[in-house]
Amino acid sequence: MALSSTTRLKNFLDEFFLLSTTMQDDFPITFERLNIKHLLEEVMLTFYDEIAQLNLLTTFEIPEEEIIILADKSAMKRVLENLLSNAIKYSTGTLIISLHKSELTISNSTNITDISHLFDRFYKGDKSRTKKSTGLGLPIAKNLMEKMNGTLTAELDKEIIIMRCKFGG
Amino acid sequence: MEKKKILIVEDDISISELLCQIVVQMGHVATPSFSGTEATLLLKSENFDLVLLDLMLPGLTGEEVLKEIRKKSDIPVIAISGKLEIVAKLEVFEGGADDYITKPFDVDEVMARIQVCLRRSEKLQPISEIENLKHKGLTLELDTKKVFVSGIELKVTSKEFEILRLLLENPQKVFSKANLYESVWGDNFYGDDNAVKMLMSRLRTKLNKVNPTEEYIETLWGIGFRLKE
Repeated sequence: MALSSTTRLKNFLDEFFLLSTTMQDDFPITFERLNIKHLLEEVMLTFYDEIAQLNLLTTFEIPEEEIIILADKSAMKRVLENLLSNAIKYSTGTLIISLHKSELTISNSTNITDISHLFDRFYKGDKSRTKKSTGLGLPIAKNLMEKMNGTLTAELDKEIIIMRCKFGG
Repeated sequence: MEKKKILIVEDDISISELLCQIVVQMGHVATPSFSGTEATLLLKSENFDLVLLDLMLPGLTGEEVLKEIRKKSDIPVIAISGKLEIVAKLEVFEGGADDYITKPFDVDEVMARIQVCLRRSEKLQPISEIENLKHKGLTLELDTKKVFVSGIELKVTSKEFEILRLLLENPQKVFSKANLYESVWGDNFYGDDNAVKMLMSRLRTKLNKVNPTEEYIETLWGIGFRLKE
């Protein structure tokens, strides 16, 4: 118990540090031609067992052809990891991942009715605060997308929350 | 892949620590050495599978260490240096290095380069040291490149063999189509998803014909594969 609290505190501090660095102007971003489909597939596979265990109904809309964007690979990987882990953690049963030429949406069914504070620091969707998270994942993802000249926005459509990543470059 | 012993010759303590961490994380054993002289002594007294060699060392330089190594051993050496110029790189390759990494380096890239170097040197090793890979009645004879399912030989192509070998060598690892393509074709993935998909489905059919009750390859959403436990 003490150990897990310590680990959580350490995670929290790491995330907090990352968030603060992503807010600085000189945060290092190296643009490269990135095959976003491959990166997305690679990151998704790391969540396979978790998704299978939760029995989430998962839908992919991934095009046959390759999609190349200009982005920083490790920053983009971080964005995908944060968005997917959030979507999985807060999903009430479904998960939809949809990739297009200039944007990616990651959607999940949700109980949340108000998304106005979603990108606030330390905001957590579940009031009980039982889920293990720092509440910093989304602000970090948003900052990183903006550093790469892209955007990250959220929409609520009935009971589906849609995280929309527009690629920059 | 079994545990390998890797010698890390780097005088900067924090970089040395980072490289050690990378090696340990890959499941290998790291021995740090902080000078060229120490490194040559260690190389005389112990057997290593790979050397990560910084070129800017106090005392005996990296180039000199490399020269010493090459006098009597073919052990793979990856040179690490801040020098970006092509001429510097070429000199090091000429001196007998197998690969070259420039500082500052990317952790994933270092891992990949170590992996490739080890794999390459493993292929060159004498046949007698190679053990066969086995999993649920499936046997891969590494020296003859033959595959057996419950004792019956299964005819496979060399690419199919490489895929099976990769899966059996890394039982828990999930491979994306791009991973498989790059490992088996040894080439950058240009986006020919279908080549991998077709190869995998052919392989599954073959395995299934010989042993319909056992599934050997697990497909994850049609985008990734791993060995079925």
